[in-house]
Amino acid sequence: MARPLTGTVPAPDVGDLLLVAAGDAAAEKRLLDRWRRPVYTVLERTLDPTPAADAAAAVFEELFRAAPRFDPNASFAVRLWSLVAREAARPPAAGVPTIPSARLRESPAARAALLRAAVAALPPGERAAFLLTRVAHQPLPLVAEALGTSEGDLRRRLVRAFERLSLSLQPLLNPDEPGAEPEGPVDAADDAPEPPA
Amino acid sequence: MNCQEFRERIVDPSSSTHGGHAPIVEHLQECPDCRAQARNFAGIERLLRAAPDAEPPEDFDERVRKRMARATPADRAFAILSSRRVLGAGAVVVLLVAAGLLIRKPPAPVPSAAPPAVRPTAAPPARDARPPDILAVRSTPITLETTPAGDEEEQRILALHDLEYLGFVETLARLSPLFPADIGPSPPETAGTPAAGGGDDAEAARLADWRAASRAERDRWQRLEASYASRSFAERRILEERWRRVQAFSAEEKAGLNRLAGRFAELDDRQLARFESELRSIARLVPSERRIRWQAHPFVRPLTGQEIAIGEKLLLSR
Repeated sequence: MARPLTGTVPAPDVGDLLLVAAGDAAAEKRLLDRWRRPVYTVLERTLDPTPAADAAAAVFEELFRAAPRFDPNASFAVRLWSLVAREAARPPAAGVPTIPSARLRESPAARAALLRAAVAALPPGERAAFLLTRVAHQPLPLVAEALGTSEGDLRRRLVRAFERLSLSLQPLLNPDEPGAEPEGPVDAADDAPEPPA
Repeated sequence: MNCQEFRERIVDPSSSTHGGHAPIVEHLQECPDCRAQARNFAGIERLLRAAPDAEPPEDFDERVRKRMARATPADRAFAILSSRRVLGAGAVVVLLVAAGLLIRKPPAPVPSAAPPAVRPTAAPPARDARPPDILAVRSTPITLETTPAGDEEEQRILALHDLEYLGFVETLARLSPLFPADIGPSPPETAGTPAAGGGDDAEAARLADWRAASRAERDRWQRLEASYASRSFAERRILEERWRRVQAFSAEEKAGLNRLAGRFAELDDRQLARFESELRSIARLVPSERRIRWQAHPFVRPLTGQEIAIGEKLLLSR
């Protein structure tokens, strides 16, 4: 018989953020060590490395600057991912480039570029929802809170995001089907609500 | 169930904790569009999984520090406004205005003909209600590419272990030092046990899972089952005991477990052996000491809060 799983869930991130507010450089370093990679990974899925690093740095800058106003009873994860969502939703949606299917077959870099462009082409609110649930692997209730929306709205955003990606990623999803190569750039209609600033 | 409801369920990985599969499978059978979309959605998930985590540039911390050192316009404005000279000038202006107001005769009050209108209070925004907890969708691809299984195949499918469990076996094995080494007597069969069989509902769910899985997913399932079957009986019992401990964890905690196992995998053999031995020493301490030693360990300090929390939960539950 399994023993009951009890005990308090520690909040080292909250503690460190409070220490940052008190000017503790070591706490700042610990937070960076824990979170720089997950944050950068999310932003790098739609941005080139340099802009992604700048956007990730902006997340930490805002996190640390606002540390004195952080409520110790609030969720650190919600705070962090809401800042990431804001950065992820900042660039306007762009078109998806047309990449010849032969190149897609041969080049992993071309496939990665198409995936990145397709996610970047999502409307900002859908993009943030998609990245936080699918790349950061955060649960829906947390993401809904980070985006300042309901779980129902979040699910609808995700469905729209997946439907758009199904269209723009046809060359990767069904490479052998005729017509899998898009005829031109696929533009996303910018009809999704923006995440909160 | 309509198409929108169906799609909202399949984009929510956590919906696997709710009820049966019948409405999902029924909708898939009826709706070729949703069948195609379910395949596409699963394909997108696979493309994302194939992309590795990105490594931030080496000067990343330096960038953050530079940004922090650069004063924002708001900071500058606050600095100007809070300077002594400006505060002094502001105080003089406030005093002059106040004096001017005092020497002016106040106008006679005008009687109001009607009571002030009461602004209706806005109703709180309605949160979307969750769909009824009668459905279950896996995060794995859903298609009905093949014909239903025959009797013989059905028996073979029912002999498979739960896919979620099989997918977790590597994680459970890798996190050995966080679980007790002894496993005790064999526990009774309980609901949700990963073992094959498990009652009519479990069997129906397993068959539905199998029918809904794509060919690639079925191959993966069989590969995982074969790999699991190659483990010794004792190993399998240990893994099942560990699964019983973590099965009820939330999706976030399970994600933390997978991340933590990934961190263990980054260690070379020598580092791992040393870390395992240190963890076993920590596990012998009283719970409060365990927490302190775990959080202070050099391996643990750079982990994310989620990873630290889940490791600690396991250590404390030993």
